[in-house]
Amino acid sequence: MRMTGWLSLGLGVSGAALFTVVTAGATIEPSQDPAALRGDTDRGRVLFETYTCYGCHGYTGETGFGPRLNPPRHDQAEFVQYLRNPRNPRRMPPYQQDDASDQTLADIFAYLTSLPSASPEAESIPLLQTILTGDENADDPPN
Amino acid sequence: MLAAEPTSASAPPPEPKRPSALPPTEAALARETQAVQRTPAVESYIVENPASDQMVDVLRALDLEYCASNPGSSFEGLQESIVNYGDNRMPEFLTCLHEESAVAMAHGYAKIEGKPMMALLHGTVGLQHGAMAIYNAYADRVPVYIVVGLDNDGPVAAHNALDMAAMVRDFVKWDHQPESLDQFGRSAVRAYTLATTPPMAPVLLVLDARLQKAPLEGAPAVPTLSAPRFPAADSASVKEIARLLVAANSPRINAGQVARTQEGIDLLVELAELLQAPVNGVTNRLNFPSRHPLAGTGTGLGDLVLNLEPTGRGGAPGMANGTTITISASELLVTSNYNVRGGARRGDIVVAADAQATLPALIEEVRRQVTDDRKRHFEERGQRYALTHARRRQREVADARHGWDATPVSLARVAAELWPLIRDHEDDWSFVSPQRFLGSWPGKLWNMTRSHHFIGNHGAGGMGYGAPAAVGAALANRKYGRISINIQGDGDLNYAPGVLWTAAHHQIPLLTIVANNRAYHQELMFMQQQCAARNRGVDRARIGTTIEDPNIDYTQMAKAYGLYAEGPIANPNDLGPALRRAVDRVKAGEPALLDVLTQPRG
Ligand SMILES: Cc1ncc(C[n+]2csc(CCOP(=O)(O)OP(=O)(O)O)c2C)c(N)n1
Ligand SMILES: [Mg+2]
Repeated sequence: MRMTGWLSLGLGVSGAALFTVVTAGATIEPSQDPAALRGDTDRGRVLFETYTCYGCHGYTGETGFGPRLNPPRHDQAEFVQYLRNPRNPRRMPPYQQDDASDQTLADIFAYLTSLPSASPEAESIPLLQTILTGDENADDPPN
Repeated sequence: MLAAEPTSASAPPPEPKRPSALPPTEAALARETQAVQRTPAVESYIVENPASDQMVDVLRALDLEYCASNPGSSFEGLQESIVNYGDNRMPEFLTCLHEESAVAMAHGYAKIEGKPMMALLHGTVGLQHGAMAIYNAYADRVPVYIVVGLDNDGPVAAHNALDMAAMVRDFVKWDHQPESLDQFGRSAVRAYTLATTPPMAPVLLVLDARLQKAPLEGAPAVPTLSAPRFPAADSASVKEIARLLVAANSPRINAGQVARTQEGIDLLVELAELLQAPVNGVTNRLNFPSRHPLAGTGTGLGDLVLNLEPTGRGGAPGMANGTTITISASELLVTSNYNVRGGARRGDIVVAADAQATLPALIEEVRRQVTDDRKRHFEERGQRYALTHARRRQREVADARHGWDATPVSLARVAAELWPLIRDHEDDWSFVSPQRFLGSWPGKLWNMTRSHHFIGNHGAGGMGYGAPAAVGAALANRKYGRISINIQGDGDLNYAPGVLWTAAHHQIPLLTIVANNRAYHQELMFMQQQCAARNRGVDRARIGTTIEDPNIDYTQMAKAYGLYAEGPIANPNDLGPALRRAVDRVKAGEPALLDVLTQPRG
């Protein structure tokens, strides 16, 4: 698969360069204990796109239909567990071992953990504060 | 103009005027005053008084302001009459680069203007191109006045058909191929009346080229149009519904395609306030002011839902097993082939009538039946709903912070940055695109109160609607000075982007923001689901669903069509200034486009 470098837009990483790493990652044997695996952030960054996680969670895990993933609300073991058996598979597809190894999921988890927040508090965003409090004048436009 | 030479008192008197030319000779006089002898060939070619002139008179009597069209010889007679006889006014010919754009422009126009616009299509092939857009308008219950040419003597036999309308008959309300000019007049009026009587829908006239080109014999009267009356619910149903509404403890109003005009919104506000019932109504066109305290689904479990023109079968979130009432004109427009409305309407009471037209009588009846005791109860629940509404609004606005600083730009930020630039525009603003793929952020962040503040969706979900419908709506907004905003998908734009040229050519002010996720993202998500369901790996979900490699340069595309354009904008901090520059262009009367790289969903 050809990586397209969408993520490189904000993060300065070339998808093409990382592709080989992904292939290598896929060959890693599944571990008995997902909690003990060490995730690789760089690999996780590419996998987050390959597995189209960004589709419902946004490129920074903070937007979209899906729940916010940044910062993660689970620990690594729970995360892996959840991806194997999500509550509503029609919304969040399940990922089986042969499709996404524990190592793959650990890599994605590592990436999510490494992400800085791009979500400041609403109180610090004047545009949103104006919408909440200062829009009254615009209530009755002329026609 | 040049100034006259100053004259002085001492100047000599002017010389007496002399004839500028010699008197004409006898031969010259004869040449100029006697009719030219035409050869028989020329004689049979010239048509002094074509019937299509009369057709223009009829179209003008129908108040058709514009005729959106891609040229075709099957209607060259009518086109010539529009531009010459009609002086290209009422209707004015709009050059479209695709028939789908012509029809979708008329769709968007009607949603703002509340009356149809004409789309003039070439025989067979033009109609085939326009078909999906006709279907969208049909499902959206929007009138479009379609005229199709038919030229059995024309240059391409394949453009003819024995029954031209057959291919779209399932999704137009009425079609006819008049056989005489007199019949054209009557059919033209009938088509208009049917299109604008709820349930509104596209209509189609097939115009034989021979009829267009024949010399006018006599002067058939231009038929008059009498305003259509709308089918409202019968008084017994109105009384019964009012009784149930007044008796219910927590009624919900579920509004679909109710408000065709501002009057529809005002009536719904009146009913909701009378009952203190929440209205779930910013889903498909603006039915209810977005910041009204009763906007939303209220709180607790409902015991009655009043569906007004629901787009699906009807129902409301948070309902107990209560009473369901549906007022919908849908059943008056069922088609056997296409499942446009998703089956029969649900309800203990289902009334086949126009909801907006029924509201005045329903309001009157509720007012009559309500007691002081019930009023007190209504006020109590109204306060609860207002509180719920305020809390939900607070939460929704605060949620816009998520990914605020992310690259590419969040869809919430696009809407939030745009709002202060349009909200105080003296002639108001109009959001002319669907918003579901945008996380509905405009509806959550902007103060939508007027029917032109949000005109809803595609109708039948047919992509390729966004850009042309926005241009058509912006055309209608132009005469009111409103600033029109189109935030649209990259995939949708690529079906027929030539409509950008139409906007530039006809000077239609419109701000288009390409919410560019470089994908048919909706389909990407569906593919991801399929891949996962079959457990065969999701890494190929992007095949066929992304629009990358090469990336499309929308700035160059828009510039090629003659628009002011900027982008791609990926850094959220660049967005505000770029929006300001583009909005200034639009305020000055031009179309402008910004290519904004966005998060895939809001
Ligand atoms: C004519 C037509 N073809 C295909 C589809 C299927 N379809 C539904 S949504 C969609 C994606 C549209 O892409 P875009 O406008 O960029 O929106 P996005 O989902 O990327 O936000 C497609 C192709 C359709 N609805 N209509
Ligand atoms: Mg897209």
